[in-house]
Order: sequence, then C-alpha cells, then structure tokens
Amino acid sequence: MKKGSLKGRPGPLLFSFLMLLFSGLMAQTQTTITGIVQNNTQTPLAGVTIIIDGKGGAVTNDEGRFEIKAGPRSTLVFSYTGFKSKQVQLNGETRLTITLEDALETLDNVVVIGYGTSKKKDLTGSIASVKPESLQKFPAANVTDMLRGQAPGVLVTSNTTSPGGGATIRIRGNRSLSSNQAPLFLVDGMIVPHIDDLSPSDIESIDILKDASSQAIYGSRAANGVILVTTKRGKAGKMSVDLNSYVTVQRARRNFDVYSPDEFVALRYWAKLNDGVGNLGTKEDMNYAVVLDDQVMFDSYTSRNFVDWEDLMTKNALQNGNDISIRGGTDKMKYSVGLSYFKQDGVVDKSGYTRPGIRVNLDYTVAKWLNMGTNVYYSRPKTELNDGARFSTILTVPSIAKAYDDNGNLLREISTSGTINPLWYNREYNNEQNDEYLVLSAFANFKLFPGFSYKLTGNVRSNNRETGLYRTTQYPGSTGEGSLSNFKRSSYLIENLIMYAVPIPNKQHNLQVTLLQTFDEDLQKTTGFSFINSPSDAFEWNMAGDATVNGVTRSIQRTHAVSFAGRLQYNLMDKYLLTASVRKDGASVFGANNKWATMPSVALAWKINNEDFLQHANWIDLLKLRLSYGKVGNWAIPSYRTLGLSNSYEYILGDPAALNLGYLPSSQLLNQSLKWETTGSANAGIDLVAFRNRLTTSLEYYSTNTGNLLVQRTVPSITGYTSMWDNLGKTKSTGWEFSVSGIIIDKNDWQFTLGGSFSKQKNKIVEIDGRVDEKGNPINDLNNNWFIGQPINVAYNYVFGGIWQEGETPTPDQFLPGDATPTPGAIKIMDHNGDGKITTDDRKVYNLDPSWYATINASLVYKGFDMNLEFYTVQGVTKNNPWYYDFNYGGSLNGKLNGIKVNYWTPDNKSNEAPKPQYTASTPYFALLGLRDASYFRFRSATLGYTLSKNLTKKWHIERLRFYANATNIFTHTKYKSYSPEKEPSSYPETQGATLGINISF
Amino acid sequence: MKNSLIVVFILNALLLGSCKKYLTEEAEDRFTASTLFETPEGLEKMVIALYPYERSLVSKGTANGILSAFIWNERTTDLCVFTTGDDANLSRFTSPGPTSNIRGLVYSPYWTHRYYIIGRTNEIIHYGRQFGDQAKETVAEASFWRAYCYYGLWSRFSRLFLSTEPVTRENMNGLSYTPADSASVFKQMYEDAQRAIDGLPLTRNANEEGRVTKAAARHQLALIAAWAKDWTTVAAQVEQIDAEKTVQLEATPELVFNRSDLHATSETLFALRFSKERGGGSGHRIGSQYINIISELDYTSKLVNGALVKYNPDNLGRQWGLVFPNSYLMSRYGSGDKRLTAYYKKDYTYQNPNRLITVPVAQLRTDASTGKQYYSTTNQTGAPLTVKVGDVLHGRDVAAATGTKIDRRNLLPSSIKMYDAWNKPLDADGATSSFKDVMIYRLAESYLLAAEAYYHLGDPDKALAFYNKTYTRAGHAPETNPLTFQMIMDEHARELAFEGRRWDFLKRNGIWYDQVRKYAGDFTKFPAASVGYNAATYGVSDGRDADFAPNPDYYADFNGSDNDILVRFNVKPFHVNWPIPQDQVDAMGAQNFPQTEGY
Repeated sequence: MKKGSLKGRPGPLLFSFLMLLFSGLMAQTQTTITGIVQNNTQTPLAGVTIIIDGKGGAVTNDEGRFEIKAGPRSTLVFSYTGFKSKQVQLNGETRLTITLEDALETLDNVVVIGYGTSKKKDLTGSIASVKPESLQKFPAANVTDMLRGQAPGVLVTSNTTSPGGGATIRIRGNRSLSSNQAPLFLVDGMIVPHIDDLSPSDIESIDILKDASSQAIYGSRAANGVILVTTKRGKAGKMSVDLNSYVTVQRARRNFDVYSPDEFVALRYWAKLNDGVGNLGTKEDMNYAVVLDDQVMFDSYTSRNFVDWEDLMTKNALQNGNDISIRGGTDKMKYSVGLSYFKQDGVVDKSGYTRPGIRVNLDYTVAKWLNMGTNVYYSRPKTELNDGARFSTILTVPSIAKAYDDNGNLLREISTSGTINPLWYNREYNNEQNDEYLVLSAFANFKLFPGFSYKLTGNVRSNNRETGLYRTTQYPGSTGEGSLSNFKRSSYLIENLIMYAVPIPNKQHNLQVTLLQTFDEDLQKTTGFSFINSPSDAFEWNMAGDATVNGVTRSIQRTHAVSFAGRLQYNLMDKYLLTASVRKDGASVFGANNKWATMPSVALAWKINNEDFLQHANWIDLLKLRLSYGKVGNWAIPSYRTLGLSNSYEYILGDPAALNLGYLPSSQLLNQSLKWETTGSANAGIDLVAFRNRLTTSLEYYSTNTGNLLVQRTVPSITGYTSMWDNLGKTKSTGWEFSVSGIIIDKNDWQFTLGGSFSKQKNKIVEIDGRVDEKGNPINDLNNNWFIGQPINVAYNYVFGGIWQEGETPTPDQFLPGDATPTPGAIKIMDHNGDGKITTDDRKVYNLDPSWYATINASLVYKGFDMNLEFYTVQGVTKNNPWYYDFNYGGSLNGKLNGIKVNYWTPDNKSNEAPKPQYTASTPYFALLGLRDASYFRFRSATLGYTLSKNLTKKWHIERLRFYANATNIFTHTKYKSYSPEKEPSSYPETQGATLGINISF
Repeated sequence: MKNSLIVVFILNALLLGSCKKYLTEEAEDRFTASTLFETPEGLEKMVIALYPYERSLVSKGTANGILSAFIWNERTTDLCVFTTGDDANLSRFTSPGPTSNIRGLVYSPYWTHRYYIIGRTNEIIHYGRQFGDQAKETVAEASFWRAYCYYGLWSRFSRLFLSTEPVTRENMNGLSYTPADSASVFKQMYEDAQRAIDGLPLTRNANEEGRVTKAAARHQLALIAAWAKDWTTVAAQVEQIDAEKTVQLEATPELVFNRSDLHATSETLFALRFSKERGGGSGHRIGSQYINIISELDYTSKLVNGALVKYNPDNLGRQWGLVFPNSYLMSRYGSGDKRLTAYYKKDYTYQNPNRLITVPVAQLRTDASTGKQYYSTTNQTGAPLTVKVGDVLHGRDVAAATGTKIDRRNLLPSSIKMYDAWNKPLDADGATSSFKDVMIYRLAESYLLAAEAYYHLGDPDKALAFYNKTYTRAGHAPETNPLTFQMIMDEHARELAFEGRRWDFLKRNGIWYDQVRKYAGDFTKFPAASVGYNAATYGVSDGRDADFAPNPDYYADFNGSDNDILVRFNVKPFHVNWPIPQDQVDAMGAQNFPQTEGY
C-alpha cells in the first residue's frame, strides 16, 4: 500500500478511536458493557461509531457487536451513516441491544427545498413533499400520473391515456394566458422537460415548491411551480437488495351506451323522415330497404348478424413492472444501482409501451474536505400507437355491418356505401416512437473550512427520439406512405453553489447563506421527412430510402440562460425563521434590452409551540405560522420570437414543372421588446402537529398576481398579421389548501391512519390590453375567450334551454336575429340574462377548470396485513363533449353514424333533452349540448398486502416478503359520458386495473 | 486543492465573461423577416410565396374545403343546387346565428387570408421601391396581388379597411380601424392594377411559367373597371389583351378543361398550379365536390373478379358531391351546345351485371301536387325491358323497378370542369383530393367582359363579335340578332359556370338578389310544409320564376330534399354582402368598424 493513499485511512482512524477510548478509561470508574447494534430488521450493523460521554469511542465489529468500558451513568451516542444517531443514557445496564432507525425513514421530516434541504418543522415556504410509499401505492405507468392526488394544490390531468402517454401537472392552477403553464422539473438538480422517462422505483422523494418564496431560488422560470425529484442514493452499511414485481390486468370501461341496431335503425328512420325522404314506411313497419339504403346493412339487419366493434378492437391487456435496486457502501463509497423494466400492453390493438431503465448513483468521499458523486441514468422507452384518429370509429360505425367475410377474413369495407372497416385501418397502420434518454451528472463538493462548502455540478441530458409512421398500401388512400423523424434534445446545466453556515457563537442564532450561479443550454433539433410509394410494406418506415421522399423538415430551437442567486436562512431561538432570497436571470428568448430579470422573495415562520406560553401544552408537537411573499417569472415562450422568422412555401413553376421556394414572414407581428412575465405571490400557512405526531395538519392560503403576461394577443387581420406575442394584462389567482393526516388507532397489532387533502382554486383575468369601448368598459378578447373578471380557461356560448315543442310558436325575440324560425324539435336557447329576449348577450362563460379537488386516504395495518384505500374527486369542471353534437362523432343525430345514445325528440317522444334527428340538415346551436359537467368522484385504488412473518422468511435470507393485490379506478361517479372523465370519448380508453405484486428485500 | 479551486473559478469567470453573447439569439434554421426585406432577392422570394399561400386557401375553413366552395363555386348564385353540411346552411341562409362558429369558419379565414397577403404586398411594395428598377417587376407582381386581394374583399364584403403600408408593432396603435370609402378603394385598385400592367412582362420565361403576366393584369383591371362601370377601360384592356396576342381561345371547349394542367391552355391568364409532385400542394376538394357520388350506387359500380369496384372511371369514380348544376343552368344551354358534354357529366351507366333491373313500360302520369304530366319510366318500347351494362341509368326506372328512389346526390348532373381524372390513387377512396389546377382568369371571361362593355357603350357590332367568340366555339352558328343583356348573362352562365365568376357578375350588375330569388337551388321534390311554398302565388307575385317551380319531370328521378330549394325562400337583399367576421369586428372594435347592415 502506498503511503498516503486513501485506502490506508481506516488504520489511523481506528487508532485515534483507540486513543480516545484510552483517554476515557483514564477519566472515571469503568464497567464493561457489551451489546449489539442492528437496524430495524434486526440486521447487525458493522462499523457503528460509539461515543462515550462525548469523549471516547469505539466501533462495532463485523457482527455488529461491541464491547466498551463506560461508567454506570454514561451517555452513549451511536452513529452510523444512513441512520439516525441514537443517544442512550446508561442506568447500570451492561448488555445493550441498540436498534438504529434508517435515516431514510426520517426523510418524512427532511424536505428538499432547492439547493439544500430543510427539516420539515423548519420550513418557511409552502412545499409539498411526496414520499416514495405514496408513489408506489399502486402501479402507474409514469411518475407524473403517480402524483395525482398526493399533494394539495397539485392537479394532475391525463394527457394521453394510451400506453406511454404522459400527464399534465398544474400547480395551483393556471396563471398565464398564452405561455407554457408547465412547472419546472428538476431531477437531482438537472432541468428536464418532463419526468415521464423516469422509473418510479428510482425515486427517493418528490418535493413540490408551491409558493413564490420557495420557488424564488429558481427565479425567473419558476412561476408555474417547481417539482424537485430526488433519486435514491447509496448508504453505508450492508448491501440491501429490493425486488419488486407486479402484473396488472387492464380493461376498458365506458359509462355510456351507443345505439343498439334497432335503435340505430329507428334513428335513421326519423332522420330521413324529418328530411322529407319518401317511401320510408311507418315507424312500426319500416321499409328497411329505403331506411337503410345499403345492401350489406340491409342483409345484416334482416338476418340480425351484428358486429360488436368495441369487442373486436379492444381486449383485456397486461401490464407488468419489475425492478431491482441494490444499495450499500462504506463510509467512503456509496452506491445505488437500479434496474427497471416496465411493459404495458394496450387495451387497443397495436398500442403498447415498454421502458427499460438503469440508474447508477455513486458517492465517494475523497477526503474530509472533498466528496464527489455521479449520477448516470439511461432509459429506452418504446411507444407503439394505434391509429388514433380512427379509434373512435369503433363507436361511430353502425353495428349493422359485416366485419369479416364468410371465410373469416377481415373485410375492407363493412357496408355497400363503402365505409372502411375500423379494424382494417388499424391493421394497416404502424406507428412507433423510440426514445433514448441519457443523463450524466457529476459533482464535486469542497468543504473548505467549517460550515463552508463549494459545490460544482455538471449535468448533461440527451434525448434521442425516432418516430416512424407507416400506412401500408392496403390502408385506404395510401400508396405505401409514412414519415420518419428524428428528434434530438440535448441540454446541459453547470452550477456553482456555495453554502456557508455562518458560525455565530451565540447558539440562539443560526444563519445559513447560499450563493448560486448557473448557466444552461437547451438545444432541440428535429429532422424529418415523409414519403409515399414505398416499394414494399415489409419494412415499414425503414424502407423510406427506396420510396419517394417528400416534405423534408428541419428545425432547431436553442435557448440559453444564465442565473445568479443568493439566499439567507436565519433561525432565531428555534422560534423565528426567516428565509430571504434574490435571483437574477438572463434568458436568450427575450428582446435585447429585456433579457434580465430580478426576482426577490422573503418568508417568515414562527414556531409558536416553542414559545413559553405554550410550554405546558404538551399535546402540541408543532404549531407553526408561515408567511411569505415573492416574485417569480415565466419565460416559457418558444425561442426566436423576437427575431421575426419566416415560413417557407413550395410551389411549382415553369414548363417542365420545377420546384420553387418562396418565403413569407409568419402571421405573428414581430415584437422585439418581449420581456419576462412576472408573478407576485403571497402565501400564508399554518402547520399543526399534535398528540405525539398522531395528528398532522396544514392549512394554506395563497394569492397570486401575475403581470406582464406573455400573451399571444389577437391583432386585427387588417394589419396583415393575426397575432403578436406581447406582455400585457394581469391575472389573479387565489386558493385554499388543506391537508390532514391522523393516526386514529395505534396499537401493537393495529394501526389505522386516515388522511386527506383538499384544494380549492380560483383564477381570473384582471386586465387584458387596457382597451376600453365607447362606454369605458374594458374590451374582452373574444378570439381567445378571455374575459375580464372571468377565469382564464373558459368556454363562451349560449345555454341550452330545452327543445321547441309542438304548439309553441316562437316569437322573433325568442331566437336570434338572422336565424330561421325554430320548428318543433329544434334547440331552444335559454334567456340567460333574463331580459325577456334572445340576443348575443345571452352567452355564458363556462369555467373549464375545476373549482376544487380532494383526496381521501385510509390505511390499516393489522399484524402482517396492510390495506390502503384512496378516493379522489375533482369538482366544478365543465368539459366539452363533441359526442353530443359533432357529426364526426355521431353526435349530430344524422342517423349516418352511430354514437352516444341520447333521448332525442320525435313527435311521439317529446323529449326536452336532444333535438330531432335530421339526415342531411344540421341543427343550429347543437354544440351547446356538448358543454357538460365533468366533475367526478372516484374510488381510485384499493390495496391489500400481506407481509410474511420474519421468522419464516429469515430461513430464506429474506428480510421482507410482501404479497399484495391492488385494484385501480374501481368506481367512478360522473355525469360525463366517456371512457374517462378527463378525456373525450374518442380518446384512448382509460383503464381499470387489477394487480398482483410482490416486494422482496434481502 | 487550492489550485484546483482557482482553476474552477477562472473557468467560470471565462464563461461568464461572454454572458452577453451567450444570451444573444440567432436564427439557425430559417430566414428572418428582416433578411427578406433587405434585398431584391428576398422580396422576389416573398412574391413567389404568394402563389402557394393563395393556393392554401382551398383547404382553409371547415372539412369540406368550404372556402374553396365559396371562392370557386357558385353556391350562392342562381346556377346550382347543393346539399348538406353546416356550411350549406350558411349558403342557404338558414343562419346558424350571427356569432356562430360556422360563420367564423367561413368568413373569417377568407378575410384574414386576404389581409395576410395584403400585408405582405405592402411590405414588398414599400421595401421594393427602395431598389428602383431592380425590383420593379417584383413590385408590379405584388401590386397585382394587392389588387387581387382588395378586389376579392370588395366583391365579398363591400366594406374594407384600406392598408397600403407595412404595419409594425410601433405604428399599429396609430391605425384607425374604420372602413374606407369606395372611391379610395377603387382608386387604390386602379393604381395597383395599372402598376402591375406597367411592370409585368408580356410573357414569362419557360422556368417562370405560371406566374402572372401583363395579360392577367389587364384582365384584372377590366374586372375592377367593370365593377366601376367604367366600360371604356374594360373594352380597352380586353382589346389590348387581344392585340398583344399572348393568349388565344382554345379551339373547342373540351380542350380547355379536359386536362390537369389548366395553367398551360392557350387561353389561361392565371391559374393556380397543383401537382402531386413536391411543391404541388396538398390537393383540393373542389373537383370531387362537384362530382356526384354516383359510384356508391350498386348499379353503377363495376364488378371486377366478383368484387365491387367503386372507382369506376366511366361514372367518374367515387367522389364527394356537394354542389351540382341546377335545372335553371342546364336550361340555358341550347341543344348541340358542345359545352353540355365538355363541362358536364349527365349520363351515368349501369356497370354491375348483378344489378340489371327490368324497367316497366312507361306510363303517362299526372303529378298530384302540380297537375303536370310526366312518364313513369323511360321505357317507351311497350314491353318490360331489362337494362344492359353500359345503358344509361335513369332514376325513375330504378324507382319503378325497385320502389326505391335514388338520392339526388347520386344522380344530379356533375360539373367536370374540376374533375381530376389524372391524379387518382389506384383504389376507391382517394378522390377526396384533386390535383388539377384551379383556373382563376381565362380569356373567355375577358371576351365576355368586352361584350358587356361594348353593349353598354352602344357598339353592338363589337359587342356581338366578342359574344360570338365563345358562343360559336360551343358549336353554335354566330349570333346575328342584336345583343341583349339577357344574352350576355346566359352566355356568362354557359361558359363560366362553376369557375367562381358568377357571384361577381350578378353582384356588380345589381341583379344578384333577383336572380337568386328566382332560380337558386332547385325543386328536387315537391316541397313539404317546411318551405313557405304557395302554389297560387309562386312565380306570380313573389318575384320567383314560375317556369322553375316544382316539376315532376325533374324530381321523378330522385329523392330530393326541401333544403335544396330553401335558398329561394330565405334569401334577403342584404345577403349580397358577406358579414364582416365577428372576430374581426371584436378585434377592431364595433365602434370603429360596425357590422354590415342586416347581420
């Protein structure tokens, strides 16, 4: 061994401990004390440091045992990296069994706050921390979706319900009008565009910064909230291995009916009758040849051979997740390795998702003054997509049809009129997206003198995505056509971080200073082309080179940012806490003179329970009042908006024809003085922990004002442009959040916990562009559906007022000027403003965002059994459902397409719900029927687990062995007719799942 | 240790030193607008882009390519009958409400599209002037486009905002969004058209074929002048076109439209080019919208290897018929007019050997509703007759043989001016896109403009001479009787129907409302109560033409709908102007730019 090499260090260390031990021996009367140190699964811990009366020390041997000399009243402190230290006051004992608690379990109480951590009780801002247990409660395909319902103020909505589809997160609702509303995601400090590529099993914690004071350290791009994801790191001690595996059966469920064959014929009959088609027969005795007017349909109907399209297109599908995580290390070197594999088959043919991933996180203590670490993550998701645009046709093609010929071959056309078989479309369509994500990061942390550290971090992330699409020569209208595109996104972030715990001799004061400087680049490049006339269907898009290539595209988006930030955290007597920060950011996307913005914030907290007057209220563990105010920004506009880019146009000129290219400025008027959108936000919160931590509650109120909104405002077309990015207007949002968790029963065998969270949010537009009409009232932007004083995300339309009935004679003021006189069976517009006549003022603003949402969670542990139930509700949301009016979704009651069954008007069924069917004519104001209440209540998940007794599993060298069964989306109560209350019925079905799983730890 | 820290700090300092540059944005994959404005070449690229931009109008609006139907279609004129769709409701003036989305989908894209081009031409003309002769032709071409757009806006809306200078964020707030008076609009259009005539070349080089020429600009000025009833200018411009001899009529009507490359006929002044090749655009639906969906009928589909093939060239394949010539238009053609076969498909044939019906003997019947007589079938042989493959299909024969009437969408005649027989995919369903060029201006219209001008100028010989150019080409003996306005109107319909010229013609002559009320749409069935039909007054005191009242000989063949005639009952004089798009009224402020009266 070389002299001075790092490997040699344990020797001197041991020596010094022995020295200490020796000096301790000198001090007082000693007895020999023996014992064992173990973790909470009774595994002995080797190398645990033992300090006796603050002086001497020892370490445990390989079997976790120790033998020391100490006085009968000595105080022993056991400490071990990765575990909570434990202090033991001897009372004459000579044999000890010490159980050290896993430090990870204490993460509940440590919150990642952005460039640092804080004990939960010392938090000054509003941060929701989501623990891995709540993330892993039930199998979900991606991390975003797992966050649903896990933190107040965080609303997760499905983006795409197909396998591999992501979800949208809104923190405390919408604030911006045009620009991006997505929060800032950071994984281990690296800015990422989304977290859908992560494996849930790699995640240690997710912390959501909700108020401006916590966000301000991320400054100008934090206005939509910040989501900090921390991945698991190694810990010193014995290697631990965790294995998780589950399999889920998924099925699609809808809450609506389509017309049965007989009902569909009746619909078509009425539609044709109302259009004046003759020779239809009577409704009791229809002339089916005329009503159906299609030989295949006629044959199908008269022989009563129908097709269940949904049954043919969808199936029960499996989902399977496996991961293994190995962690361990020594005081010097710690490792965490995770391997994961996730596979989801689609309930619709030809859709699916797989995501293999590997993560290696290493930490290495080089010297007392230096530690380093690296993170490596690689994953390769593959998404297969069905012919999405055609999926919904399984509901709209009539079941009076023929899907297969007599030999069982799929038919291309299902009726004489030539309607193409939806199964045919799907069969002849292939679409695949292959991603590759690679994240590399490394840091070096220099601890130059006590309390001071300087950390340099470098992060790179790349995402390569190849998307191929192919429609075979059998696909209607295709000559063997498709597209292939390659998207490459690479970003880097360099960060210089200085942290200094200012040594103040008076222990009443505690001051921490953080200084930060970062710069980052995000670069996106896309190359793509489409092609036709492929010589063969065999190789899909991979034969594109032999096909006729057209439409080659190339685009580049590059953004740069530079930031400086500073933060002070001050704690006075553990009662009064202050956090103040300021950040200055520069971003390349803005105009030359407006690139920089400065975002300050301040937060105060008062730990009331530490005051003398509450000294005797022992039942209170924590009572804390928090107040904060800060400014944050939003720069989320696409790059190059201040440059005025042109678009290219292709044309053929000449004889022989030759390609010519022309260029025109885009239809956006150039604005070179774009600047930051800024949000000022105040937050007040009160936290109460009581009854020996059995009750935890938190209540928050926030009020946010956003100004200089980055808005794609409408400009009159006569300018030659249609819109312009501009900074204008103001919005305000306010909300309440409440969370509570109580351990109701806490006995040896029994534990019952009940918790929940409630979030209420409201936003409104305060100002748009300051223009006023002749009466001095502010002008709304009807093009964008922006109304002063109304929520940001709204629809604006008339209100459905029922159906005109026979015998009612509409007077001209009961329908809109310019309209034809309504006839029986037509839609009535409600006199919404109650002025006795129908005018354009009778339109109503419909709020499309939920007004509140909540979660209730119950968990019960009895001996080896554990049970968890979760309920989730979203209320006060209106959502458009085109299936009630749109021709393409069978909603327009034309009798041509099948669709959601409604109670339509006929002369002998004087319905007040839906108008009369018409074969070709269309019904005015039909779209009003689409605005539906989409509130829902859902029994989201139930899990039942059983952990085998350790006595039994020990024999197999297994620390923990748990089996569980889970069901998701068990029951949903909603008036919104669809496969999912968050998606239109044409979207890929959201599924119910039943899971069996196993967790093993070694 | 300290050394390494120093290195780190220095490294950072270096990176920070270039902070300003680090935050400077540069376009990496395309030109910026300012690059285009800076050179004559940039402006030239802009002018070329106007063609494909204009072409993109065919796909704007709703799924039916509804704008295309408005621009190049006669749907709201006296010449056609049309079926189905939200946009059809608009055309038959069963208004879906003043602020309805469907209105936004029709009028607003058109308005915005035109003003986008105007905005670009303002820029080309403004910046091009700085380059003098170097950009003279570019400026002339942009002037043509500006006049073209203002003419399009004026003819549709009759009210517009006149913008002639580039708009920037800085000067935008100084604009007052008020309508211009007609004098200044016409002054501007005259100036632009004249600048185009002065600057555009007589002919184009082979590699520029398809860009506008002097003749197109003259035609445009003639159209503008005709609107102003400045007949001297109209006549002079057409005479000039004739004298410059860059265009001449094709020998027969068939030669004009029986081809995909309409830009290349000898009488084309201006056509928008389409092609399946790169640069040829994504196709349009105008062709298929004019063609009946006849092939969906069992009778007319072909059996190939026992399978029904719906792409049947004999019957024009599978199409998407929405707009058809009405009985008024068809009645304008005399017998022997070559255009009847060159411009229309009337007879569809039996092709399915498994669906050959036996037609009962014709019986003379009296229609109970109208008292008019008609034959129940076409079989005048005295004995039942089984049809053969290739025989002409008649709706009344099918109705008599099977008891089921064929939908009018399957059987009305089709205009084949835009029928694209050349770029069809091999299978049945590709006909939704056509790649045939779209004719904008052609010499036949110039001649009819001249005939109209000389008629008004009181020069009957010259009027007749221009009239006879298309009339004799259609196979008629030269007309020798003095020309009447009615004759010009009818020849205009016969020659130019389904080319989108009818609206202008009727409107600028002040006869739009009259003609639409008299003839628009068709009685494809005897009206039900939903149409305000009164047999006693129809055509007597209500301004409609009794000759085109319900006629069993017309509707015996197919199953029509009341909707087909609604337009005659719904039309109001104010409909001659399109409403200003509501979103634009909102954007400009109703106090500045109020909605057009009536809406």
